[in-house]
Amino acid sequence: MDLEKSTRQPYVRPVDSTWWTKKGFYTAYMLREGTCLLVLAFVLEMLGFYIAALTGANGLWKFASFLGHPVMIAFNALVLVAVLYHAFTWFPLMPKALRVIVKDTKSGLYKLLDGKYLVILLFAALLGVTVGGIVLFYYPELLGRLLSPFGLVKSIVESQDPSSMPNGDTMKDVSKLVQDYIGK
Amino acid sequence: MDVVKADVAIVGAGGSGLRAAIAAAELNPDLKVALISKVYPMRSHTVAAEGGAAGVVRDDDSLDYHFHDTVAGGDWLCEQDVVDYFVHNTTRELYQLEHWGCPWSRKPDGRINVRPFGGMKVPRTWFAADKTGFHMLHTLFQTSTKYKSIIRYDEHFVLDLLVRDNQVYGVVTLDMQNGVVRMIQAKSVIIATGGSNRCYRFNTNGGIVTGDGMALAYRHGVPLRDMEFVQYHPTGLPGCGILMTEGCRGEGGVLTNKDGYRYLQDYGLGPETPLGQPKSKYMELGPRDRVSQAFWQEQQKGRTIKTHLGDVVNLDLRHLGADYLEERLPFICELARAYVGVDPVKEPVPVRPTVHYTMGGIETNGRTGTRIAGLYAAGECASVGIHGANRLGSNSLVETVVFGRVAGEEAAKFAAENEHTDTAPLTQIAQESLDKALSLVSGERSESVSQIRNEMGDAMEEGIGIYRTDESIRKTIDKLTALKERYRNIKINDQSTIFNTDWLTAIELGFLLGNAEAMAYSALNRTESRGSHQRLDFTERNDEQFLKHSLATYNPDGAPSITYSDVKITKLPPAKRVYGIEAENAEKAAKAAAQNNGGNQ
Amino acid sequence: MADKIKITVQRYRPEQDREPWDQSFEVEYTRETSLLEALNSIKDTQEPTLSFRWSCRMAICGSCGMMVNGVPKLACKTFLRDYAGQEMRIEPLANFPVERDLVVDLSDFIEKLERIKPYIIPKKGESQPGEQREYIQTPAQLEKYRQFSMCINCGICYAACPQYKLNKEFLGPAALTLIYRYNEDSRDGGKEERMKLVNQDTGVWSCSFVGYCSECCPKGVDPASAIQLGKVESAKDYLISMFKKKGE
Repeated sequence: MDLEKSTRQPYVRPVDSTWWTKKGFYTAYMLREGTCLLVLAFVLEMLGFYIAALTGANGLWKFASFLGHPVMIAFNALVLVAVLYHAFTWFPLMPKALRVIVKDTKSGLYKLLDGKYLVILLFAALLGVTVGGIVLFYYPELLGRLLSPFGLVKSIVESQDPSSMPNGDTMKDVSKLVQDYIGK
Repeated sequence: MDVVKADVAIVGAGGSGLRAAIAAAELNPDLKVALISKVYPMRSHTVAAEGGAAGVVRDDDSLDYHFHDTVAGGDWLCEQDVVDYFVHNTTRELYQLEHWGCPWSRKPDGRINVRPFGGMKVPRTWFAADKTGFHMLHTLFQTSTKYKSIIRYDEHFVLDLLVRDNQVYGVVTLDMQNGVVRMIQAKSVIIATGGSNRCYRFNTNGGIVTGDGMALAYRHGVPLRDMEFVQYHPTGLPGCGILMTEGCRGEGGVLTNKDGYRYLQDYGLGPETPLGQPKSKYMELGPRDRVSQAFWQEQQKGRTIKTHLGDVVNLDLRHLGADYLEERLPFICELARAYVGVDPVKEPVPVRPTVHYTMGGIETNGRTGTRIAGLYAAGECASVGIHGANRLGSNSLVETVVFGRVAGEEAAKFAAENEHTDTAPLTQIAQESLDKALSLVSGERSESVSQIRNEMGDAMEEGIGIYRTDESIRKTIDKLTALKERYRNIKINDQSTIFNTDWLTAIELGFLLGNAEAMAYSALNRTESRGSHQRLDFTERNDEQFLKHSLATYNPDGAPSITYSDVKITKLPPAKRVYGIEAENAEKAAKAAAQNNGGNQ
Repeated sequence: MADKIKITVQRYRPEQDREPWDQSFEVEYTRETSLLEALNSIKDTQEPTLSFRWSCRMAICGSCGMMVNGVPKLACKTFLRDYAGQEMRIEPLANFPVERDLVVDLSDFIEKLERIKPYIIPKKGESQPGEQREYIQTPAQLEKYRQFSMCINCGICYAACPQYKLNKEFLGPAALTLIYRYNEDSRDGGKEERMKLVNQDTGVWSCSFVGYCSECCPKGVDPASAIQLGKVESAKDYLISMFKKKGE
């Protein structure tokens, strides 16, 4: 036995790119993270909707029929499922980021709310309504502004007036137009 | 051979070793402190201590009480001057740990809380729930990382001390991870390696508690003192031996036999105290030796409970309620659920006495110095003189820091006053030690390490258990002699240099066999009953002959020689050791006598 | 009533093997037999050269972390009865280099624990209590960090963490938990120093909240929680520093 020179040779295990498929917990996590891709696609869809609206009634009709395609309906249903999955997998994790000391010894909102999702939902809804209510009470005009893009769509669709449609390169004028509209 | 130079080398990085390292680093930041351990510091067995650490804080308590409890608890075999130093320094050290971040349990006003413990007159046991040792060890380890002069040698197995002309010059170690020998030359060495309870089959201890430091000092001529005093903790889980802390009883848990009867009242610890109202020094709060002995007596009377894991009694905690148990004894609940499938909230926990602590150890003076110049010892491996014939629960955790600190400071002073010697002759000694260790690995052999270890453990349980007789001890000695012979023929299968645990456990077994012999011969020659050493053939304490420390001195060719040294008595002369109502009466009588004396003057 | 179970152990002997290989054993067990006891019985009676770390047997020293059927666990707190009718596959703790058999190299983990200044740094300008006095700390203040002081340094959370698998620079669950533990201690004044480590790329923001560390932690420390709370602190820290800059 030679104890003068080290024969140490640690073995470093290779990292397999499919590691996340080997354990349910990791797979569920990757799915949760993966929902962001669908959310991104949905955001792009919303952007498309805006742009279509700005190009006028014609574009909007076209976009509506595009959305009506069975593939797109299926896609949107999938987005809904994904967002719900994301939301629900976050519920059990959420209390980890909040710590409330109750009566010195019972620690954590986690223990307190463990499994009581309905309570959490109601609390969230109540919080939303309260905050929203307060904001709108002081800035009632905000509601109109928030809804203004829908107003724009409505006016375009209703008027069928080509003059309300921007000419030429739509993309360039989008932001200006929206700003003008919201600002008026 | 790789050679490293340090000023102070500390072997063992549990409570004592870490405290010593910090003390040395604080006293003299210029010194290089080598902290050597065969495991990472937080694996050290201090981690498993549960109940707490004693330190006087309450207004109704006093240092005198702590002194009295300790000396009487040790059946007067304590060095009283050392106990005096000890009780004066416990609280300071515990506050020091508090300043370093130890999460002690608190009272509602934010001050330290204490709980009652066995054999203690007033509650004075500081606790961090039921993980006190764990929190102390981690606090010490984490704090130690602050000091740049402490250099750790983790997972370095110490093969031998480098001793020449009765002075120590360092240690020779095996770096387990790299598989190389490393000599650590030092001006002073502290041994802080813990107990040797793996000599016994059933114990509360971790696998690493193999008395390495004791064996090393012993082989170099330092006597092992009072080794016959081995503590059985009354409440270990059957089968595995895992500890159910004395804190269980401190918080109000009770022990019952198969009839549900609180049998301790039959053994000088009564009368029975009301359920849920623990009373200091009564019943379940008696000292460990007495409570363990009561189990043995019950067993003889056939009043224990038979299970597939052996005879047990019940530790009943149910009346404490789920919330209180969760707050004060969460670890106990976790352990009972996992290891015997019993929920203490709903059922009583089966327990039996298991070996827990080595009261004896490396003989040191009150400042942790040994007979070898530059060599110090602290903690369970040492016999500094505070435990006597029976240690009180919660005195040992605080001992680690009180005497760890003393050892660190003493060793630092010694190192500062001495120079390094020539390295070459030391390398020679180190090589010889290594060759001896390596000789185990080579050659055609046949004996199995585990078999010898198990037979040793069983023989110790049988012959040197809670009660001993001349016959039983002699039988164990014969067995140990035979095992030592077989050990020469031990077979090591593993030839690797990296983490060769086959080889290292064999070396540890060699340590254990020597320590076991010291225990056995010390027990044989002490023909009296005192504290944890109870002889069925000599049932009385015999102060005339045996108010003395046993000293086992190593003899390479055979049995250790047993001699005796005096016990230092300063202010508490030997008296009858009493608990329960007897203690209360004795105290009243003493008070009355004192008053009478006062009136006459 | 001894049952039998097949245990396959991944072996690696650095002097002989280029890569790990499997060795299987049959072990008898009872209701109380832990995996650690089974491994010790294998070592004692079947394969003395098998190496693994262990000590306390009671889930407090943190030595015996290993992968059991792909899940990081303490061998002493894993019971064969829970695998009745199955086979067990034991591997060294994931994400660490293998030194030998079930022994991994923990030095990176230990170095990280040391790096984060895991000790009380007294508050500047505040006097410390004297030798015979404690800091006043109410049970509620203790509760703020108590759970996070329960870590036994077993390394299981690092074996559970995919981020550590992919990036060894990540401070990791136990070290970040220890930071939070000291930062939240009412006696400590070192938060500012430690937040530098928390705010770094390799600090809390390397955590993507997989949460498996908390799932596997044998002591209920919940490191994922400590890290999320650390993110809150880090975000606050960032905002405050923005205002501070504006104020300058």
